[in-house]
Amino acid sequence: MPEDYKPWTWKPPEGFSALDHTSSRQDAHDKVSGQAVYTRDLDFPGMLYAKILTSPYAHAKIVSMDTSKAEALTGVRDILKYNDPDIVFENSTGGYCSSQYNILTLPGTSDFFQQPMGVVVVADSEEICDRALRLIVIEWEERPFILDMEESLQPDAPKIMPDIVRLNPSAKDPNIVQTNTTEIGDIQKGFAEADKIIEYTITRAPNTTAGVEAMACVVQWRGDFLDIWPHHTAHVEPMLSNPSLPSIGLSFVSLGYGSIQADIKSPPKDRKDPLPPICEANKISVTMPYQGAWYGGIAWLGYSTAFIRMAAILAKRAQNRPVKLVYDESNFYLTGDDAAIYRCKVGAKRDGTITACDWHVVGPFGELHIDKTHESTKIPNLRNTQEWALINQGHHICFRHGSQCCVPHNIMFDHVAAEFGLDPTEVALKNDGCREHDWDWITRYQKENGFPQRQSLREVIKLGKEAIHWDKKWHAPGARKLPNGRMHGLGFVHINEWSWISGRQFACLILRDGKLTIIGMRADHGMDTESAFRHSVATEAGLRYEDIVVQQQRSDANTYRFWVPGGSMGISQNTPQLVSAARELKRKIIDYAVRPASGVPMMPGLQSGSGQSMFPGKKADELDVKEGYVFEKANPINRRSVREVASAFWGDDPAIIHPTVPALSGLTLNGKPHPQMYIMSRQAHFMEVEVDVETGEVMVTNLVCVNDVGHLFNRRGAEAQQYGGAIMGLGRSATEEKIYCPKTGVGLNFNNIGYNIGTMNDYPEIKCIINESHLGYSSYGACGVGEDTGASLSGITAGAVYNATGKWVLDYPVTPDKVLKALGKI
Amino acid sequence: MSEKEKKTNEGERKEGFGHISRREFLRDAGLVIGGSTMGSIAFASETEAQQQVKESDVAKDPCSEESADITTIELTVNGGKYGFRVEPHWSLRQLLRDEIGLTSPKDWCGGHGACGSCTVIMNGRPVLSCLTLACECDGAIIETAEGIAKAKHPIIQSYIKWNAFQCGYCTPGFVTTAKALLDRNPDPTEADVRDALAGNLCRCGTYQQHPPAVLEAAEALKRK
Repeated sequence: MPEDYKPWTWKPPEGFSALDHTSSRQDAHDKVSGQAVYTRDLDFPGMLYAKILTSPYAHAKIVSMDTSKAEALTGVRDILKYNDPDIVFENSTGGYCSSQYNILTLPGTSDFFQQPMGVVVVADSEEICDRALRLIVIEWEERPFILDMEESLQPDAPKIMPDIVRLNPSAKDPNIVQTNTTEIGDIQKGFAEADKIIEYTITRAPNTTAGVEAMACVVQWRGDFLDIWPHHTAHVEPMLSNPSLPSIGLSFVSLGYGSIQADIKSPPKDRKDPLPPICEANKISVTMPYQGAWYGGIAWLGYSTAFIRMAAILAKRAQNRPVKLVYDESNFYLTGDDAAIYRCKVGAKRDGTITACDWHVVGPFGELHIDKTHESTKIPNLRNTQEWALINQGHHICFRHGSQCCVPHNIMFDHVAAEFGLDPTEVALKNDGCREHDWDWITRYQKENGFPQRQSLREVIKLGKEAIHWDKKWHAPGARKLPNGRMHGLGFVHINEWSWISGRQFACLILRDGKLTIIGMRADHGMDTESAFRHSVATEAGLRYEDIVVQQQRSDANTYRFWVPGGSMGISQNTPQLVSAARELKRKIIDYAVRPASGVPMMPGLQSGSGQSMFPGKKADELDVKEGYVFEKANPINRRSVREVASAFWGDDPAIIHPTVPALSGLTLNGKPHPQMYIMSRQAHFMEVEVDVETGEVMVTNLVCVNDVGHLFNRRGAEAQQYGGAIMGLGRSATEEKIYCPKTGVGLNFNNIGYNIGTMNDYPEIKCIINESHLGYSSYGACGVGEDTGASLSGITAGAVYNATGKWVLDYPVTPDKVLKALGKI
Repeated sequence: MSEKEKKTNEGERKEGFGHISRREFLRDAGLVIGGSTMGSIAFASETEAQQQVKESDVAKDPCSEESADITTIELTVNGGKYGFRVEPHWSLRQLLRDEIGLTSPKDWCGGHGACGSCTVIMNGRPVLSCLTLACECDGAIIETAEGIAKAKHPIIQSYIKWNAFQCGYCTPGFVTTAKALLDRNPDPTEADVRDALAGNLCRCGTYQQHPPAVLEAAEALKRK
């Protein structure tokens, strides 16, 4: 591997274009025919089922529990209670929430409605589990609950989650998880330079994780060996095998990054001795079935890991019978996108230049709410004041999900444009930059580090405006009434694209009989990064797409790392390893093609042993590999199949390639080392609405999504992230909201009927446009495209409604009642 | 809420639950065979429905002798003949998954008939197998996504071609609903397709891929 490792400077092989690439997915037939087996579908001989009690209260302690009737029920095999010696040790080691606190595996006190807690029943069927759970008599002590975070921040608020271990040094009793202020530049100076200071408040209600397959996992012990069929992306081996883990955070482990972030300064209380490992790392095997969607609100990671730990304990007690731990549909409402209140103050000049922005946020902390504004603008002065306290609504926490950044970011541009009568797309361009630097500065950085000199935002805005006919349709707020009586509005949002390369994972390619297997474990929930992986390896190694598959690998500890799931990061994080591996494989194939074959046949049927080269007299640089054939460049008729060549050396030197990639290196500025990376790719989305001023209904009539993916690997996969993300984002923006009873703290709409998920008839066809600027840091300049569309569109409705009506509705979701209220109709 | 209050869940059960069985409720609500009606279930009745379903489970212990009201049924599933002795509370989905071993009727919404993921074709109509009682399927002809694929119906290839899925969990429900539409309307418009599939939810947001896939399958059927 070269010392100067810059994957964005790599050039794709000739003929590599995903623009018209329509190769079918390897999972297509399984999924369409209903034969794909998801974790929830698994059914093994002798399997037992396990279900956990869910709390009927927002906050209540179990005073006593009588399980005698349940124990007597035929088919009940085990009952594990919150105070059982096998589980009490696990409290405070359940799951991990955004580096700030741990959730509990099986607590005796519920912290929110439908929290899995108290007791778990193991039985011959799910049905018997349900029946047994209902036969358990519990004496509860209801405790005070708080649904409003501002109330929870008060010093005299009741302590509502006494057992939660909060890790941040700024955590305070009774309920504060974190408070801090981060300032970049000089916020007061920025406001002093402004022609106008604009202030407004945004509120966002909590919404759910976009999931379809509720948590499930199957665990079986084989003596000391542990087999796991998990749900989703939990990286389970370290959780179960690392004795020091209870005293450290898990953070990215669950995402599959393979790292463990230590927080040894804040060990869990009530534990003096380290937790013994549940299983030694090299005795754990993991098989990943298909996974139903589970997007947004990353707190599910905590539950997915907690569930596996619980299942392992139950399976141990089940004495080698497999145990399937399942959770019902209320699982979707445990986690989700965070609610928040943003008190915003923006300073701007008349030409749209923003001089300062200041967010005071009351809500869960995933990342700094100004992070993406900082990453994607030249605004020099930014401040984020964060206040986060526990509330009895579950753990609505996500980090790097993005809605919490995208919503205030785009509302700011809408407000500045409205204040000075400007076009919001012009305001966006006026402030485009990276981490306080303007685009002239970024252009110098691009030149010095091998990037093309392009301004992504200008390109995506141009494409989007043309597609939606923005210049023809844009109008002053409330100025266009349609013949049908509705008001016409346009909405626009923009922000940087997501993740760039981080490395760490590695690829394993095995070539045998001319067929190549990419080995890696990942919990795919539909993003189809597999097709991109196959396509990139095929073109780089010179093989046929059809001859390549991706296989999940039963994992022994960390032999084959989990890959990141896909979407926002899968392609950017995994392709550098795959491209490196494919190039190494191609070199190996050519090397053996010109090398005299071994004189001793290693295995019957192999073609080794001739003692002669397959291309006598030829040197490696005279050969190439394409479409499964090694051939002489000057005389392509002289060719041998890759199968022939690779089979000839398999016995001596099997074609198994698994390179790692180094950290990025070689970035400079003004000739000096400069390690900073800047996110230079942008996305822009454009929406057309009609607002019925009599009903408050907001009808989306046109939506254009433009994403600069840097380099496109898989058109269908990228577009799916666009239209799929758009529908998720519109749900968060206009319809989806978890509603709690203020008197009881109970969820009122926690099901698919009461919770408003859009249907096929609720959205127009979404026009998806891909831009390739090659400004990402991954292979060929690729970057992420996944969840960012959903995150950025989470705030688009307010701007469109303002353009239609001249009224701000900054209370998400923007539902008809709120529109009518803004219009003074109710 | 500062006052500490002690309750038992046993006590709450007595206060809160009614006495309508799941089976009676389903019959009364007219939802026993209701694939196309799922989108019209009123929100107001849903909470009540949930409570009543839960109560029926409490009232009738599936493992107790009182529940031994076994029904013998015969039905055809994907062309194969089957005979079962079914418990009165078993759903068709339960039968297809647990007894026959099919995986395509999925559970997303928890048996509320609110997502369409468990849709199968019963006697030519799309039905929600989670809300269809197995004991009422005597003599029924059932088609699932597995059977549609086995019969090489063009809807399978057109769904693959149009990438009308992502995670794939809800996809079999779309496939069965779409196939039922094509069975009764071989020449649908895009609006027909959208209306037919509006009761199927997809969290990956693949909605716009389905109409062209279904329309292309319709064209393929005409060419046959």
